[in-house]
Amino acid sequence: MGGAGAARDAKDGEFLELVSGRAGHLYRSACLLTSGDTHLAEDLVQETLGRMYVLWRRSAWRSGRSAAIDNPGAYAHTVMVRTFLAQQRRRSSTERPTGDVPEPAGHESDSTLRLTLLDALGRMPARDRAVLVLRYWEDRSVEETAEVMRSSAGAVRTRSSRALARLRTLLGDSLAELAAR
Amino acid sequence: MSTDEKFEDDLIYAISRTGDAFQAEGTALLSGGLRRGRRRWRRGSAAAVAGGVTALALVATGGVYLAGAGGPRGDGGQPVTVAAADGSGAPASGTGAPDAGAPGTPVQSAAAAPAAAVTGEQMAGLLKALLPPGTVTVAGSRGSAGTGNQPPGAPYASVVFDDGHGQAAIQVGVQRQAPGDASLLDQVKCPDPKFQPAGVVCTSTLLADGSTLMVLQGYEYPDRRVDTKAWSATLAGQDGRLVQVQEWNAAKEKDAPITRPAPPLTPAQLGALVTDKSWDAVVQALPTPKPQSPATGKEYSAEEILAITAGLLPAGLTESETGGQPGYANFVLNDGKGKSMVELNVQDWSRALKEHQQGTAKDGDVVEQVFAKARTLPDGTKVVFEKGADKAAVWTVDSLRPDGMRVVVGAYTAGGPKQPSVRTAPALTEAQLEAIATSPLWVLKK
Repeated sequence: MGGAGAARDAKDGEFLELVSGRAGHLYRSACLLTSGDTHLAEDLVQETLGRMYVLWRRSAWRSGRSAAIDNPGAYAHTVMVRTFLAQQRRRSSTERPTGDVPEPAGHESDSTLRLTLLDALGRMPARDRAVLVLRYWEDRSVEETAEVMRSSAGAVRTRSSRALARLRTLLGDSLAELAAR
Repeated sequence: MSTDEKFEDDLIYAISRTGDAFQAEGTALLSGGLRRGRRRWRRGSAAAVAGGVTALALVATGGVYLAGAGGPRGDGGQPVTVAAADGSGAPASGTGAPDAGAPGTPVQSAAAAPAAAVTGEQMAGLLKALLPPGTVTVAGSRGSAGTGNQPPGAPYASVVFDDGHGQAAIQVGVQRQAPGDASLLDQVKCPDPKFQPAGVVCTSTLLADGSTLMVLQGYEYPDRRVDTKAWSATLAGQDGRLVQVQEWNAAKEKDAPITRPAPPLTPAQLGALVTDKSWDAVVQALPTPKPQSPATGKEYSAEEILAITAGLLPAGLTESETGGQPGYANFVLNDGKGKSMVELNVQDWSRALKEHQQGTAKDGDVVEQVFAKARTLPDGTKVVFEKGADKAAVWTVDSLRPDGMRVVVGAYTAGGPKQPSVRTAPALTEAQLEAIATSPLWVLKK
């Protein structure tokens, strides 16, 4: 064994150190993308981290910094959204994720708000959902959103405004009432 | 404000409240992600490769995590599973398979049907019964049965314990792997001290019944930006059980003030807790996964890298404190002027190189990124020299041969990346690093 087996995988540990602070936020984004399907969201995050791992090992190993990944947090989100969209393309268009809404402590109206929004997101096409999540949850610019989705800024603007209109139709006035704070 | 703007404003509020409500089980996500990454890596392809469900099941990354990152961590102090497992799994048929390349549910041995399920309440009860006198508040738990369309997960219990000297979070988790699985034993090997901060104490002991007990007294944050202590005991049993208890000197593992100088249970108490017979029933309630398929052998093992490198070192220098994993190895040189850690990556970049040459790199052209400013040797090998720093300074030669063989050799001015420099230059010069990296002894494995 030459003694190499005496130490655990130090480099894998470094990778985990690099991404451990980001898993929570990735997961929350994934839950929105999947409109509350937490199982699918967990799968999506794991798949994303798996891809990040390969990129990280391929490109660099020094001190957990990667030449290919300047900003691991933003990069992970890009990888995740692209993975999500690729997965959705492969899925049957008739399927819709079932909501699996968490019930943390809080106001009842919060819970209704979440259910209402997730249900509406679940009724929208995956690319619309991705645009809304990137723009309104991730707070990405139109240009950044276009980059992530491998689309043009113009197409993202169009999709964004259509998605908003569709969401408004689905939600009616309920969002305004529930968001009254 | 227009109604459009008002709607966008409401949406931002609603989406924030909705997103923030989801709490991740960080450990399971990370271990699952690492496992998928390793598998992708082993397949030697960074692109999405569609494949069937492989016979990988509950896997062994919790210990790696513990070693590298100071302990499984939750998200915002939420309870997490202690022993990481594929608790999440892939969505079952109800939600459709999201990705043909994604791993499926843990593979269960048909011959070993699990006994009756253990509930989360029972897990908490078992933990409570093994604690010394004090007040106990249950913070979270999960049973063995899995929920909904989730496969059976790793049961755990998380409590806040107070023996009168300050609140402390304590978590226990149980999972089961194939008996004798290498990944099981990996989790009870002490982490590589070269990568640990000062003050970490670890013992790994073979017990009379053939099980191995590791007790690790470390820190929640590897960089010790907060001095929260995270102590743990992990037992790998001959029946494939992995029982792990962790405790902190704070009421939550993260984002909570330190409440006491040290966690409440002593190393001996931690060891007694995980070796207790009361976990037998939990272990029996879990399915026994099949053993992992062995690595393909296309990668250089750490031992192979160490052996080849040993013959390439300048006269008088020998490897000590060796470590590594497939495709990677490290060791310490001591030339009498202070320790100098050396690490190597030996990788097959033929695919990345081909993508670079054809301009078809999908996830970023790593060859361009790493070798854009490279010098090219007469045989076509690209070489880059770089001086960088972690905590210690590191000199690195990165090389890529025309056939795609990539070898990186780095040498530090200390015995490990996280240790302060003890010398002005590493034990190997730039020329010596380059000689190792470009040696013809590195041959691309087909």
